[in-house]
Amino acid sequence: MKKIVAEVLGPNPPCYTCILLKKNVEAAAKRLKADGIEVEVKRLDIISREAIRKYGLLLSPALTVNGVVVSMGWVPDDDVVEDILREAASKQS
Amino acid sequence: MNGVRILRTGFLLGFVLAVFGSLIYSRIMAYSLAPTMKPAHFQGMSPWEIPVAYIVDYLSHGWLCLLFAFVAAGLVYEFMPKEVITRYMGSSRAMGYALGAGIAPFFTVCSCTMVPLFAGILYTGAGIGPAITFLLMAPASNILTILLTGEILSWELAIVRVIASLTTAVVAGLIISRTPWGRAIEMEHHPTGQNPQHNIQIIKLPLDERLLAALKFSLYLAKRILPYFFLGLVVVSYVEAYMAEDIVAKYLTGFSGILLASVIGGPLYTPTLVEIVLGRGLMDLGMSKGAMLSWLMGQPYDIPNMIATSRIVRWKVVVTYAVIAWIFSVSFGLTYGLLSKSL
Repeated sequence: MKKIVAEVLGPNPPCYTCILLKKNVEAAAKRLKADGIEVEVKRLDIISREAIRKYGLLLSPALTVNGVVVSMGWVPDDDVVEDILREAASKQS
Repeated sequence: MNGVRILRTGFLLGFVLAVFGSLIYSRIMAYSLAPTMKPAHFQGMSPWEIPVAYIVDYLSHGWLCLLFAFVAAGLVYEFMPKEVITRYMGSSRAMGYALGAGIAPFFTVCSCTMVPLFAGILYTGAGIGPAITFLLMAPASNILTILLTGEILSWELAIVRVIASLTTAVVAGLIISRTPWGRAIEMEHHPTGQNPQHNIQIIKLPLDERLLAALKFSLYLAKRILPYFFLGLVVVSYVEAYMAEDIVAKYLTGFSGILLASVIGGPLYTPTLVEIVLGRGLMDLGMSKGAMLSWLMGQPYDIPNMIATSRIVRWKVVVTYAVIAWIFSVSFGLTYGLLSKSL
């Protein structure tokens, strides 16, 4: 089983757009699970030291897949997120 | 699939061009987009008629301006090269000031972007100066505020407001980066070691998806801001109808008017553009232009913003920038009032 880590970065407490993004990622993750790809969805505080050290300055909300920032400053649809995650999974094999 | 995509791109581009075109057309025809009702119109209306009449009057003129402002804000936000900002913001001090004052404010229409970006600028090593500059500049010069100040108040005021805020923001940033407590915070967040290579590969979407995303963001902004905006209009209609002109003329003009406007402008500020509409109402009642500028510049030290930033940089810095912003708001109000002969 393939495994992907997706992180949603946003301020704490989460703002509306970050909640929306997390929902979209979770919806996409559910669909991928049916195809045998497991997606671990994490939430990371965008102004934490950890986030800054890993990714530098970002605009919220941001999405990373396997440690690579793929979007920031806007909320991609669940379809778009699904495509991104599938591509990441196909690269892994 | 490709045909659908081209059709959709064409349709969305057409919509955007139509909005921009009709605004330019209204400019050429010198058609006013600001509310036209004056306090005298409200005489003889019952209390519930006043807000209805005012909002109808406002929308019949202002819908195009509002539509344009939100569409433009969405487009700017979507098509601004965000990677450029985040990559260079932390690179050097001068670059930090330039980006913090010049570009970053354009796409911080959403307050939940503002505080993280403020913290990010500080943590990534550009220092506290650029961070403060960005923070003070952001509410005064995002694309929505500029467009609406221009349309509802006057373009002269909009330009003066941007210049005044720019000066205030840069000077406040420079001063705070030289204070001992500002330096202490900078030392605390000084990046250790060299900058790591960050892994960023932003996915690019086709044009139609990006246009759609831009308009979606416009819609999101409108949904968030418009309810408060209309609530503000209701308040303004009552202010216009019941506030006696001699009270405004007495308290909101002259030097004391500037002082008063700068003090009440801050706490009243909400990131919902209400201050612009309320300003329009007060100006119709005789508020001076100088006091108006102080009123608009009072925003950087609004309370929620101060609480959020104090968690990152502590109170001493917050109080310092608030005091600097206040001094500048009063002196710019005074200067502008003297220059425009409307004190």
